[in-house]
Amino acid sequence: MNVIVIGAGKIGKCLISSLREENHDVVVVDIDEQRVDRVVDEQDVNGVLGNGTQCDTLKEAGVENAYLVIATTYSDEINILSCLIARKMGARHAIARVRSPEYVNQIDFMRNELSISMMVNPDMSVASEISRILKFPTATNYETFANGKIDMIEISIKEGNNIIDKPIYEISQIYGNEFLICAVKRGEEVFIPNGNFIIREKDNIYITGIHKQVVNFLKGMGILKDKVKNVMIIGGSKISFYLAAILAKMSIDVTIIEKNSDRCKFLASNLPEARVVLGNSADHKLLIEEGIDRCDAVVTVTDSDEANFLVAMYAQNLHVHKQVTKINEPEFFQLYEKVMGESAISLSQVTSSTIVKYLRAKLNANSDQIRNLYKLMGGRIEAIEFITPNDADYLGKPIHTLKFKKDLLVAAISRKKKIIFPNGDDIIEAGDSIIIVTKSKSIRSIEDIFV
Amino acid sequence: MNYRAVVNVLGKIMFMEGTLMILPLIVAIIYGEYDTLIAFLIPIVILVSVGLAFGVKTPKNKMLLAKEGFMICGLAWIFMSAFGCLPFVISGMIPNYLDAFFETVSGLTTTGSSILTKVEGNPYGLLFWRSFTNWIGGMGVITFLMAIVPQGDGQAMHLMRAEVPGPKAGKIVSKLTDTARILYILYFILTALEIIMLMFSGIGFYHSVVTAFATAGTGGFSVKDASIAGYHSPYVEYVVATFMLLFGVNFNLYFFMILRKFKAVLQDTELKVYLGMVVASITLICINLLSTGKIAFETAFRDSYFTVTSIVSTSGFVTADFEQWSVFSKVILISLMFVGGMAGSTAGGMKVTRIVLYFKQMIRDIKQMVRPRQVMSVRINKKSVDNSILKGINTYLVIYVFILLASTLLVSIEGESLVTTFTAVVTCFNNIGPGMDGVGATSNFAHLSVLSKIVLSFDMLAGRLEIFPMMILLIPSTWKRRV
Repeated sequence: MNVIVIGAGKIGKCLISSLREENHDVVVVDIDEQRVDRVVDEQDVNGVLGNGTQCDTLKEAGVENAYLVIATTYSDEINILSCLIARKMGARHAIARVRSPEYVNQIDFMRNELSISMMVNPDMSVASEISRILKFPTATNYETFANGKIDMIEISIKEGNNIIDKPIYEISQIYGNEFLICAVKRGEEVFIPNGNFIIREKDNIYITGIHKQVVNFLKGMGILKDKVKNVMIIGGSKISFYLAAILAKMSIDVTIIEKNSDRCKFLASNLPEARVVLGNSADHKLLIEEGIDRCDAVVTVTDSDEANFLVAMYAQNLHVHKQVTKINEPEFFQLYEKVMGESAISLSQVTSSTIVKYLRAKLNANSDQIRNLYKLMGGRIEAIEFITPNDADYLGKPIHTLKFKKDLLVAAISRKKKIIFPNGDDIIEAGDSIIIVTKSKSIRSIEDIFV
Repeated sequence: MNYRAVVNVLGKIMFMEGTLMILPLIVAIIYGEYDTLIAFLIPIVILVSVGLAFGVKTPKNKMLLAKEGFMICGLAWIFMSAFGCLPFVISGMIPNYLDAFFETVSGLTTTGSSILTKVEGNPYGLLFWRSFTNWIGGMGVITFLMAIVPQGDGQAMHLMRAEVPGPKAGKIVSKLTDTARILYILYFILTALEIIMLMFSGIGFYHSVVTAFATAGTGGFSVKDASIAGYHSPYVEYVVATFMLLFGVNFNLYFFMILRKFKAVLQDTELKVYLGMVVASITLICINLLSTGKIAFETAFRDSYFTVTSIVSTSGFVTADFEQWSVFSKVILISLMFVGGMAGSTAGGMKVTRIVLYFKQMIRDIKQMVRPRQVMSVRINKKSVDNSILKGINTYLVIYVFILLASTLLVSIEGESLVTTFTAVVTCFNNIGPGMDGVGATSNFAHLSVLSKIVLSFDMLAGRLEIFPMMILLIPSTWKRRV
């Protein structure tokens, strides 16, 4: 499909590499020649130099035949305007990155009257992602499926854990089979394990299961962390603004450290529940004064990856239980996960997986099939939730008679109120919501999971 | 330097060459030349096994940066020539390895300078391979690789950029593989069209095919001793001349025509200059020829049309012996040799777009003298050209002149006349074919010394790859593992 990405910033670039993984034809538009050149060098895409709000530029980028136009520049207005023009000029769909809440609130109007298909607010998505992780601090990543009925969490296996060197079938003998270890990362490699797979120290594993069972499992291993009651947020960016608002609703105490005094004033007046402190994140004395060592969790969301990384390390050194860090640079991201054993959140990755999910669902013939799509382990594994159609030849057959693709696992089936963690004898029925975990990046519809 | 990835891509290219050689093998079988089969089989076995050994397993680190891109490009062409000449050596058609290497470099770089004193009478299969190298080299080996084996993101562009002629390599569609495929499909269609047109002349299928191959790559290898003149057919001459002109045009423009973007084609500055230059040269030479009063108008027109398109597209086919023409006509031809065809075509030379940019820059700089404070930009196709591109083409010109002079100096040791020495270098460096005087339309390069042949081979490669890939191989730091 022809996709035009307007804006070759961090989000634009990450989005482009996700789109290229999906094998779309991408044209990137930016007003900065060097940025266009770099993207064209690094990715197999075409570049157009110019302003995305100009007809000529869009025409050169081939907007008439574009399936989707995504505007990701820093400015909401440019993004919305670009999408409007692109839609008028013939693009089938348009997605705008919109940062200010005022516009996000008008999404219905924008969709119905201005025909912008979707608005993504990366800061908002990241904030809600972080809040989800804080709900379940044991997990380094926390996603839910089937309307929140199924959890999927990532934990890292540290020294002394009692499941080390045990094969998976033995683990389920001990802790029951109401959950499933569905993906493992070891060093640079990722695996979709079977029953004989042996868990080692320092592995990162993904578990799917019902919340209660997962909690029991974590308790059994003795790694369940207490609920988070107070959080320190470093950096007063938009993310931290959204996050503080969410956390306040969850009645969690929030302290925000921000170095710009005007920003501090804004935050203080708009977030009455939060404690806003003027100061620099590099000032360790200040952090101690504000009680960083007594916090349950430290969230670092400044604009600088380096600062986030350092403060998170500092917090871990002070035995703060939970660190959540925003890191954008992909290389840095992996380094962070390796060094810290905690997960990082990348603004660009969150955004691009939202858009990729949207695009896949749109391109799918029966477009409602994909319900959820998460990119795990730096995008190398995908967890997808499908709704099964009413009529298909794989329905009603025991799973062991079906031939699935390599490195693909049916992790759970949600049927009405029941959750099934399938073994070979279970069957897939119409209207089920099935969750698969796969290394393949080409699963577009449920038919794709079979050989 | 990521040697593993470099070796991997080179392995793939070797494999590709081995497979391509099957075609002349089939031709040899058809013509019953069983004694030459071994000459193809040995290189095929070598190339395929080298290709399988290095090209199949993809290395862990596939990262190719600009340096690797240039390096692969330079080495690929050298290896292609080094192995591609084996059939000539083994069969004994060109027993001397260096001569065979020169001939193959000349073929692949679409130069068309030959060391063969007698072409006719050689086996059909081998002559087919000789013409086929013109076709392969025309659109480029790396482009061909891209078209059949998709390369990963982030590495392919550097490769493509190193090979595609012109100051800025642009993709016509978003994906590089698709771009390469479109280019080859266009190339294929145009070649097929020429074959069909030539079939009408009654020169037979084999001759139509080899002539079309040599025209398509703007190479100029002919299977006749007297080149295209050997067919004694004005029809063939007109067809070949027209197609030489067509293959000198930027292929992107053909794609635009398919997309029905005729306006963009008609307004293309480079195309206008290219056609204008051709028409002006034909007119001047034609008048010049007629002024001698010895030839009829039709012959004068045909000879000038053919020779101008042959030189400007850097093909180097010959019908008229331009050695006999006036100095005025010869100077026009030599000037055309430097210009060459359009960027993104199969032609060699400096490319029309560079010449246009040199002129526009010159005008801007002269204007700037008078109005020192005015901010002026150089524009082409109504778009301002970035200074980094201008800087790039200016550097190109400096290196171009430097190599030209250095090569001329080295070839001059030969002791031939100044015209022979100079035009030998010019014709090789710009991938044309025939020079003048001792290497002129009716002579060849056989009598040159070993040193001259090596220098000229380098010039041909440097000319085809637009200098940088070859220069980068000469810089010692390229070969260091780090940096």
